[in-house]
Amino acid sequence: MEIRRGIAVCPGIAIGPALVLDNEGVWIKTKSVASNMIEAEVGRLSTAVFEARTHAEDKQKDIAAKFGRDIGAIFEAKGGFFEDRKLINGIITLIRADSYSAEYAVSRHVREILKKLDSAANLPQAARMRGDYIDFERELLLILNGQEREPLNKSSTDPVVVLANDLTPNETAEFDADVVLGLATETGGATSHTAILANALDLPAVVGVGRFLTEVSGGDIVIIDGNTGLVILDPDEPTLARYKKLRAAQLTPSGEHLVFSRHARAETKDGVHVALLGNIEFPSEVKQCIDKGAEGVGLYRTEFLYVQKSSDPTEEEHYEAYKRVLQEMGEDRPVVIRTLDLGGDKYHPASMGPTHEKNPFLGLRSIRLCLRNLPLFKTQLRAILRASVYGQARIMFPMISTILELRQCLSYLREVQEDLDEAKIPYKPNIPLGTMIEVPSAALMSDKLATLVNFFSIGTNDLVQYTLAADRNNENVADLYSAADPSVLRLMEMVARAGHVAGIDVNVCGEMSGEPLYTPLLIGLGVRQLSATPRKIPEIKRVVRALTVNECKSVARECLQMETASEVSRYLRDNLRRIMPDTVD
Amino acid sequence: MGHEPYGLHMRPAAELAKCARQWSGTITLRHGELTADGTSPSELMMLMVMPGSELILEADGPEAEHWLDLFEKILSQPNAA
Repeated sequence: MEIRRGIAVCPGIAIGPALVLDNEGVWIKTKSVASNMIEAEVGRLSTAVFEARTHAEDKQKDIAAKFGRDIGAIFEAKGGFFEDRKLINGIITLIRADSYSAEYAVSRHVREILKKLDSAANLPQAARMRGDYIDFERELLLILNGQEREPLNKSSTDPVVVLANDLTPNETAEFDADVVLGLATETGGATSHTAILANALDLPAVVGVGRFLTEVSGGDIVIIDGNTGLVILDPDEPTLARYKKLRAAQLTPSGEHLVFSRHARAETKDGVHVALLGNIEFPSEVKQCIDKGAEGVGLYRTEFLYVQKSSDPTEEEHYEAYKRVLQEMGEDRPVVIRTLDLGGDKYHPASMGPTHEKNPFLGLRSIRLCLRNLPLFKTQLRAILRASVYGQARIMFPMISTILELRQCLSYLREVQEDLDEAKIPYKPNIPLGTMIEVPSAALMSDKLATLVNFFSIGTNDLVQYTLAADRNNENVADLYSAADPSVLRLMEMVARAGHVAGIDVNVCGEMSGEPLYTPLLIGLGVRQLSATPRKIPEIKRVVRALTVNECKSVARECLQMETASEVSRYLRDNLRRIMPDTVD
Repeated sequence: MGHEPYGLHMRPAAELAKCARQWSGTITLRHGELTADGTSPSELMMLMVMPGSELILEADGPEAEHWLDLFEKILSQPNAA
């Protein structure tokens, strides 16, 4: 048994066999085979080794012909492993001794070697050797995965716990909720994309565990404790039993509140309504929004249409997705559709190819990318407008940093409307338009921006990152990244005031709005709309119902005068503990 | 015999193993407690030879002297690192 600690990003307990997903997306699906199939597995391995050797030789000849013998020799060296009888025999021994599948034996053997290498940290060639062994493993796994396998046992489709160094949105989008029980990654922070996705899919998840994949092979039993941030590899019986009990009881305490608050109105003790909306990624999450009592969708991220695609989605694909969400939410619930927020750490449109910017977060991302790629942008706007007849659509532009950008967006939207008019295609007139405030420049200019739109939505994740100039996923500066920083609160106050003066709604989306700690502060700043992961809504509603606006205003006043993020956090924690003793741990 | 190679990695290991496989004798390399079969690149790499550390080559078979020379040459190439 091995216990590792990481950052808990989505609560819950997952127990199941590990699916180790390496960076190249090679999966090991089956750990062991029936005893009468052992020699067949040895045969599969030998065939794969032979194929890999042939492949390496071909590649070496090809490279040598193109680039000369010196370069070719490097590839010849890589092929050396496939002629290494000792290495291959080590793998065969594992298959015979433990009835391992060929894939599992390869992975297991390589991982043992990597572990030895990791303990020789001062060996100058260790990193290169590590890469050579990983290449060897991957090459064999790719070949083995490509081979036809007899349906030896049903375990290959059993639910699994996914372990990876990091997960790309691509990989996560392929997850089937019936097959994936939970996630754990070596890298990543509390606001990393993996964390957001885990929440969207409501999967127990732990990130930032540090290097642990060499300790585990596909098929090993793993426990992910998304409540405390523990990842337990190969648990012993008592631990397993304890966690099974915990898993069975895991619906409390928020589960209890759910019943109480689903139909209760989200209003303060003094009767002020605070609209609670859901953030979604997939049309299928609409159901969860409704189940958790959301009054609408406050942030519909549309980038998922770009995942798993070698070409950009068509207007029809956009349209079908939006139509489905709007229809399911119905006439009474607004749906804020955010236009494409591609780039940065997220997907790139196929039509533009990969970018190689040195500093992608300060580069061509989000609305900037859309304004440079009008066919992409207009296709989406057209689809939203066409779908608007099915419900209460709202359009929101992300990452606006200047007035000019917002004006451009509005004028392109008008152009698309005119095109539709000409083609006599119906759409709803007067769709409410909004802009996200997630760049400090936009917060500072919010009084001017307010004259152009019907609502603001403060995207706290990016606003924090850009205000404090700290990458939310960089462990070295993660301590600077805090939504409680007074600088961030001052900008938010400015935006809330500008919205109030102009008479437009101010919403907050991002992790902050799903965190009960901040609920009193946000209401005190004048925010009357919070958009969070649907799962968080019942808890936030319970907090809202325990507050009065006057109390909240004094909380906000206090915080705005503070000097540091930790001072604010401490104060907010004490405050919440006083109001709701059972919410703060 | 004593020898001071650069850190031993894939390329010289593969080259040495290829050479060793052509010989009917056996070559064993020792590095401290660890030993490696000269025909196995993986075992050679896992000797975890640091630059400047001492490596012992043992050859047993026909024309052992000649083959030892050859092995040593491979290990002393400047691009062995």
